Amino acid sequence: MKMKKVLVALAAGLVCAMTLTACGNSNSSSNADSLPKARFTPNKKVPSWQKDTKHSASLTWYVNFDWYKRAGWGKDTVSAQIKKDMNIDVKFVAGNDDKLNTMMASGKLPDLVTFDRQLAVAQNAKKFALPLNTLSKKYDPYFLATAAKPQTVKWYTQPDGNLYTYPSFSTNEDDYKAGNVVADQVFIVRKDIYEKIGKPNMSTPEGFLKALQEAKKAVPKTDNGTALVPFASTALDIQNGGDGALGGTLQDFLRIPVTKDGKWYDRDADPEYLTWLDTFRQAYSEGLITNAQFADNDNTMKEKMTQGTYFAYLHSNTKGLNEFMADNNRRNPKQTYIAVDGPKNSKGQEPQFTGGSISGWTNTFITKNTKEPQKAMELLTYMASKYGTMVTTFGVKDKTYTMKDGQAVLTPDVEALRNKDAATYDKKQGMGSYWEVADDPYAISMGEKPATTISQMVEWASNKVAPRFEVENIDPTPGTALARNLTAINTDRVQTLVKVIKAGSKSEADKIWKDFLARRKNNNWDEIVKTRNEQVAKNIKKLK
Amino acid sequence: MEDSSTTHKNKKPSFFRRFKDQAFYQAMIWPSVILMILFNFIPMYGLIIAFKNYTVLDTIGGAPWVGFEYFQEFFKDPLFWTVMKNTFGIAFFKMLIGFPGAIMLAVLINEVANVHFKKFVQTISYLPHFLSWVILGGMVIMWLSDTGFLNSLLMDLKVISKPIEFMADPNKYWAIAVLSDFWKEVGWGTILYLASMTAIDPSLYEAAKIDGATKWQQIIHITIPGIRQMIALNLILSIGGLLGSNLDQTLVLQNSLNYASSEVLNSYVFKMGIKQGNFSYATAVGIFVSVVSLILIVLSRWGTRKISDKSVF
Repeated sequence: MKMKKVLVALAAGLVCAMTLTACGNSNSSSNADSLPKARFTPNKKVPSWQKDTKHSASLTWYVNFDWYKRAGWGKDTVSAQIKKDMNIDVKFVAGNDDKLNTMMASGKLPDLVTFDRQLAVAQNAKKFALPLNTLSKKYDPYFLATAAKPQTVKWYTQPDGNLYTYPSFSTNEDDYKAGNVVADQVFIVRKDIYEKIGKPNMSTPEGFLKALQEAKKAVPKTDNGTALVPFASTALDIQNGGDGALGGTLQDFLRIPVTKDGKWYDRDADPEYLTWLDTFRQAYSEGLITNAQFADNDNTMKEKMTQGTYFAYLHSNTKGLNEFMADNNRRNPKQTYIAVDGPKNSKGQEPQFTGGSISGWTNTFITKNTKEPQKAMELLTYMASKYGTMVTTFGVKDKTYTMKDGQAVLTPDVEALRNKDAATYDKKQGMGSYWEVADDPYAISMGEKPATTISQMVEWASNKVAPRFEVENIDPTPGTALARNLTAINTDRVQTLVKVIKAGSKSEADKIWKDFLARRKNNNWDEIVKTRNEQVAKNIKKLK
Repeated sequence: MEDSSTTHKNKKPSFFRRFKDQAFYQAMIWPSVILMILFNFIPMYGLIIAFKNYTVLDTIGGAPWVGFEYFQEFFKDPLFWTVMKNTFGIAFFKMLIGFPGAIMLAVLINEVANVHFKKFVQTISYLPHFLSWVILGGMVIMWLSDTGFLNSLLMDLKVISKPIEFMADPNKYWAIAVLSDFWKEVGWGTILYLASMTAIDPSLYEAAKIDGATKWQQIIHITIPGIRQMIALNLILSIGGLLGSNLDQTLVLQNSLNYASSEVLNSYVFKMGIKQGNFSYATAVGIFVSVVSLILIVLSRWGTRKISDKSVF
């Protein structure tokens, strides 16, 4: 009897499950044909938002970063101006991958979504996003005609002829030519110590090690009594294959090419790279790099930076340093950090960094769920356009900025607040916080300057940038077996980097690294290289 | 107690009649059965994504079938053996120390004569159980750091000349995981044993005392056999949970350097599924874990029948 009951229950369960699947399919099938009519005949010379001010709308915009918190629409200068211009309300919702996945699976998406372009779902945009070319044609031809950057549009247009997304911080060939790009990598030293030991040359392995030794001798302890750490670099994130500054960043400093003869180049196997890994190994064995390098996370390391703990620091994200440099400078203005020439290759060549990619950083989509496709399209046009970029970067003319010789200059009190209290500045002004489809190179050309604390660092790197569009998006598609192989290799790679630096001798370190290079084969390495080469070839073709 | 009037009738009462007679008990069981169907059985339907190429944009039914591809990929993954070794290794040592440890502690507590002291010891030993791994793990990491309490102590005692890298050394991770788990759970593990010890007939101890049995003999011949059932039950439950018990701990204590010896099945599934969004792949690994757990439970049930003449379930 008991058995029978269990069987009945199971059968009932199965039946329920089968019927439930029908409910699971909730991806609404609103397509381009069923879009509501445009409220007026749009004109490609005038952005539609200027004519659409009578219609007020309220949109929800999901941004896939937990830290993206806005105080509320209209509460800061930038959003207040957009609200005034467009008669629109936008509610920003922040979240992480879990939340995004849940929303995608349930088919309940807000009007707009923004997430990192490397997420697997970006590959399937067709299933949840409305094509921007269709929307633009129907509601706002100004977007494709003027607001969007033509090279970026070409780059993002899919083989089916549709453009599903528009990126933030997309930088193209013209931007490089015009010099409107900044690099994000830097080698910084604590100025007081650097001057005390006679401003040594740190670009050769010998000079580098000697400078670290002298720094340790000159200032063994920091102001708060802890030992000075002569050298550190961006925190590692082993679980996610994050190599800090020990991988690509160091390779950029050594000017190791990303491609050779139209083929992807294995930078990890380059002898220049091995030389410097061995330099770091020697530094570790002499106590010039500490174990904290491998245990501390990004927050801990930046906190230590505000205490002047490090003499020299190799970093992969200059913009992220602003707040911490400001804290350090406030603590002791004599112990500021400055950018100097760091590791160079044996030929003594200048480093070469990327100044941004044509793919940009995030992707923004207008979803099929939106009830206000026209207003959503207008909002994208507004924010991607030159006018919108001025608003999101500098705020309101003659209120938060003035124009001088064609360059925008923030008013003195706004600039002062920006350097003194980054958090309040963000909350009250909101400049630089609505970057979802931002045209950064244009903002730079109009006078956007890095905060004073990091301006010297940005300046140092400014003449060392070159595009490398051919190696963008060349890794296997996320979610595939090959992508999992690559993740495994990257994790192994960072662990191996640590082992190399902690190795007892050069020969031991060399062996560990060579073993790793060979071990990649177990994870379909040859297949990955093949994919990369195919993508590089495709990119080169696309860029012509 | 069966009524003699019903036993002499050979015919069984009808289903509905019996159901009505048991209405009160049925009312108690059905809500939980329904909840179980809703939340334990129906979601099992989703397991089929292990055999499909599912992304969040597909429906479970609509995703294309791929057969055993993900299982094969997992078995071929170079990490497979590392993860298996860590999972079984850590779990084995946890059981080896934790299982007899709880029994011994229960016996010791049971023998404490002073009631206040007994309660005090019990409370202290339960306490870590109620702290989450986030807090406890944070404490462990701090104590074991370069400048932490343990290294400072050993340095000051001149036992060592250079701090030991506890958390950064993969060779020490298993010991840290096993001992910190023992510290957290051993007190809690005694509760069931202590409860079943109170059920032992005191006259047995009195008789043993009269016969001149020592404390040790009383423990071996009365206390331990008295809680035999409970030991068997706990053994089955802990063997069944071998593969599934250390996710929180792993996530807190794992770091870049001990990764090679700290990655276990559950943290691997978490990483592949939730963090990297490989839902199908993670589900396949999850099914593998469940199947192995099921085999372990069946084996241990079969084994414990030998210790305690009755089956526990």
